[in-house]
Amino acid sequence: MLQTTTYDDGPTRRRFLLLLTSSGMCAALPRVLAQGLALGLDRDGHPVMSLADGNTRVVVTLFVATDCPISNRYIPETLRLARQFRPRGARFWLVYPNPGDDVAAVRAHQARFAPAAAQDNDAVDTAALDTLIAPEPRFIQRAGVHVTPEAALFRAPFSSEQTALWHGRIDDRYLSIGTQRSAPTRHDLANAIAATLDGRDPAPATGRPVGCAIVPRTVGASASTTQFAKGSSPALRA
Amino acid sequence: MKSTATTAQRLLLLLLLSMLLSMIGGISAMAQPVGGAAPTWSSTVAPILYRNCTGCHHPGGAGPFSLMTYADARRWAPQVLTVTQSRYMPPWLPEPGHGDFADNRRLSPVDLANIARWVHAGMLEGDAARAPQPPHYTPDWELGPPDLVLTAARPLRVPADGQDVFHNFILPTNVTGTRYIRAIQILPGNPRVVHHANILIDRTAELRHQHAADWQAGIPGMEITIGSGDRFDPDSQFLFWKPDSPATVLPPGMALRLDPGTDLVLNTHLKPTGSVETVEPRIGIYFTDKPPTRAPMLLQLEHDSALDIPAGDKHFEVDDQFRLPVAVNLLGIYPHAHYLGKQMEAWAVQPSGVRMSLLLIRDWDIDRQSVYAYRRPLLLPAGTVVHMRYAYDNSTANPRNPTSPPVRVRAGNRSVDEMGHLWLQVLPVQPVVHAAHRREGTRGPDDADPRMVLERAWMQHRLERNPGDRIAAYNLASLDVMAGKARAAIDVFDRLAEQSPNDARTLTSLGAAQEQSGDWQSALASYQRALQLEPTETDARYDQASVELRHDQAEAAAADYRTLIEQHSDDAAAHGGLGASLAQLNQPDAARAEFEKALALEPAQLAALAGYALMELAAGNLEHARTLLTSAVAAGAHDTTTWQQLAFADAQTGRAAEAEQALHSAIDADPDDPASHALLGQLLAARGELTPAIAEQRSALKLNEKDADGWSNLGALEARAGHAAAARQAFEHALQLDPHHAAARANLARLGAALP
Repeated sequence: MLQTTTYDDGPTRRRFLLLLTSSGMCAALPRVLAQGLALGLDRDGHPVMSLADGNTRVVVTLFVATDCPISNRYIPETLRLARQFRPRGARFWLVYPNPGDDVAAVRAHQARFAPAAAQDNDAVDTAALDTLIAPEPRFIQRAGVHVTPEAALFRAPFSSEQTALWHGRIDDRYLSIGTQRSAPTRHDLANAIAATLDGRDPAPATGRPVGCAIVPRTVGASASTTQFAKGSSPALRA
Repeated sequence: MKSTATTAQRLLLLLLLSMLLSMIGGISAMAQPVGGAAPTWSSTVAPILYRNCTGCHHPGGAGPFSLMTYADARRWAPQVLTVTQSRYMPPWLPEPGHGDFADNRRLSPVDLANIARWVHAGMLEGDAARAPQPPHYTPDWELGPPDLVLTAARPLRVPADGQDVFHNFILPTNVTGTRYIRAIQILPGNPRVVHHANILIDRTAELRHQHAADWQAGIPGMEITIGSGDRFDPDSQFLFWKPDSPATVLPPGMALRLDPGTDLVLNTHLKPTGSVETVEPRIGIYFTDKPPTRAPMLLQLEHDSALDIPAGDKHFEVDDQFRLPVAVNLLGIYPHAHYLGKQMEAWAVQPSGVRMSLLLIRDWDIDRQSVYAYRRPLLLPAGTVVHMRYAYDNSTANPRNPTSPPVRVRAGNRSVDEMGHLWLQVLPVQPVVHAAHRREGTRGPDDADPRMVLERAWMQHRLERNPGDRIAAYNLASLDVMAGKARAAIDVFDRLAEQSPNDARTLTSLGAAQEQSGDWQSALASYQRALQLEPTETDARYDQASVELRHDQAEAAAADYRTLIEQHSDDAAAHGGLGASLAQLNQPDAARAEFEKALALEPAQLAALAGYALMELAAGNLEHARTLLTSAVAAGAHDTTTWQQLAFADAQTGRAAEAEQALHSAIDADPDDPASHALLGQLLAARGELTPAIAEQRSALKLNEKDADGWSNLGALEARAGHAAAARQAFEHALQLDPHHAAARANLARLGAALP
């Protein structure tokens, strides 16, 4: 037994080791994020370091929740927009900000909704949309979003300290919870993306986004920490 | 989990919460706190949620998320606050003070205030040990395993996105005898997709026959029209389902009749969820052996012909008013419009002038429509006038307007059309008198069934409002046929057929009226026209075959029945008809085989029982004939012919008492049928009871004075009784009617020889 044969103060040592292990898990994330390297996790649990690459002209983030019915109802529309604008340099992200939406929940959610797109002959399925899980709280703040679904645009080149160029509703289909048009009359997000890609400033957002309030993370319980603690992160394994 | 947050943490939570509330805009409209200590989930909020919300919002329920636990409630608190303050939830459209409804789900001001205070105060859990026990919800049949489960033949795939879907599932019941439904439950299969559903009873499987090749796929459509069958049996129950609907347990005495050949049609409103969904509804049915003793009826007020709403009109009104010809108890009410509907009012004015508000909805929402049952029936005396007034908004200010920019909208079945219907479930105060118990002096079926009086008044009212109302004209003509007024019905059906020469249904009904009037040749011509238009029109083919069978065209009848069997191999009535045709064609073995097939499919198939019995009577198989006729009577055949045949079989098998009883039943069924009296006379004479036998024979002759045989028989009875003068008079009367009547002449001669 290592503790009893090598160290007279074994119990203390063991407590220290345990503490080290535990605090190591908690400490890893802030260290990584503090370096400005990770904004959250992708659907495989890997840290996401940037939302754009060299081909990206505008970053489109769609804040969604696995359990929000209005957010879910917009998935097909999100796919249509991605199909429309990706060829012009728009990179689409489904962002899951809520604490309960961990990697497993998001994967299940996308497994449910991706076939929908495929069966609807949509050329883009959810696998082609990038995924950001448990975004860093300051990123949500810079995006300026409050509900799911709500969109935020960032002009490329993207930096983690960047504030959203535009944020708002996808369209005016929903006027309030329970009041919806049969079809939207105003496509706010599409207009904003098109303007940005055309080099213009998008018109300021109008109309209040309707959906489910983004759930605040409780103090001291970072969802990102939880994700990493499940051992899916290469950073932890290293 | 109890709240263990530190002061700093609570402050931060409150700050975040405050921010969130201001984001969703609900905070300024909240009710004032009711005072006292801050409410907790355990003490205050859980009871409200369990009482009003978790019926849908439980795992596996129709609600998009669960509210069963404290964690759930906390997670969704902002939404709960918003939708309760706006009264979007719980779904309840009627305004208070306008109808006292049994399942009122409107939250009280105290409940609203407590929810708001709980959210404001930080959504505290309180003492979890003191929280009420959560309700238990079963995902399956809440009344236990049903006696019969109907499952959609093919699941429906609902697209991920797009407009709402309106779809009708066709569910054959395949019952083999008449059954009575005491309870019914719809399991939509995917409650998050099925927004509401409504069961229609298709008593002639009309939709299935119309879509013989692909009925399994169901048919699209928001509303459908189906025939009601060949007997007066108006819809009587709202079989309506919405997400938290429990199983429908019908009130005592109001069981629903389910006959062989009846389909249920599940009319569904489906909402895309963002994911492709599959819907495979099931209906569970619970039977009782007790036939209904109370017969409610659904009545409708509407003025669809006035629905012509200009584009942009913010307030377009239609109204209707209907005077009740008989006293009724109002049991329930179901308002219905599409997406432009705004305000709905219904009220009744009694003959005394007393006004009763029946319903008021200020902000109609088709998505939250429901049937409303009154806590206690409302007595509406005869002469009460029921009113409805609906307002519509066809402007851009109506967010539910399905068309942008708005367009002129008229009445129709599509979701972009409009409707303005107010359905009432009424129970006539005067009960229905069944034919077997009808008293002398009644003139027709209307007297025996107040629902027919209501139906006639309702249809006449519709026709007054809209002379072009084809359904009203058709139904009035059908009522005339039921009342034996075939001539009047023929005129109406003729006119309707001229207006719509391609309507096979009208031609079929025209044929039925012509047949009833005795003009079977014209009836055949009408059926043939219907079949030229719609070769698969089952009713026309069936009626044509029946006429052919009755008029010695058994070959043609057999061919028609074979066509029906090719189209619907499980049609027991068609097998029975083919059996009867083959019996007429003197092919007893083939006929027997068809009768057996019919009775295997449907043991109580009346036509097969009657045809088979007739064949067996003719063949001298009297015991089997008697068995078949007894089954026919048990299955509801209470017509004079069946009773007379049974009496014959009884008499021939030595059951004189049973035969006499059967003949009394025949006379009860139709006191004006001379054959029943004559047969009873013969039976009594055979027993030596000559005086009553003579009385029955005289009764028969009163009803059929020109029956030479009858007069001859009377003469024989009088002679046996020693009444020579009366006997002579009867024989002479017979010979006046038929100078060649051999029996009368011979008996008269014998009587003369016997006289001194």
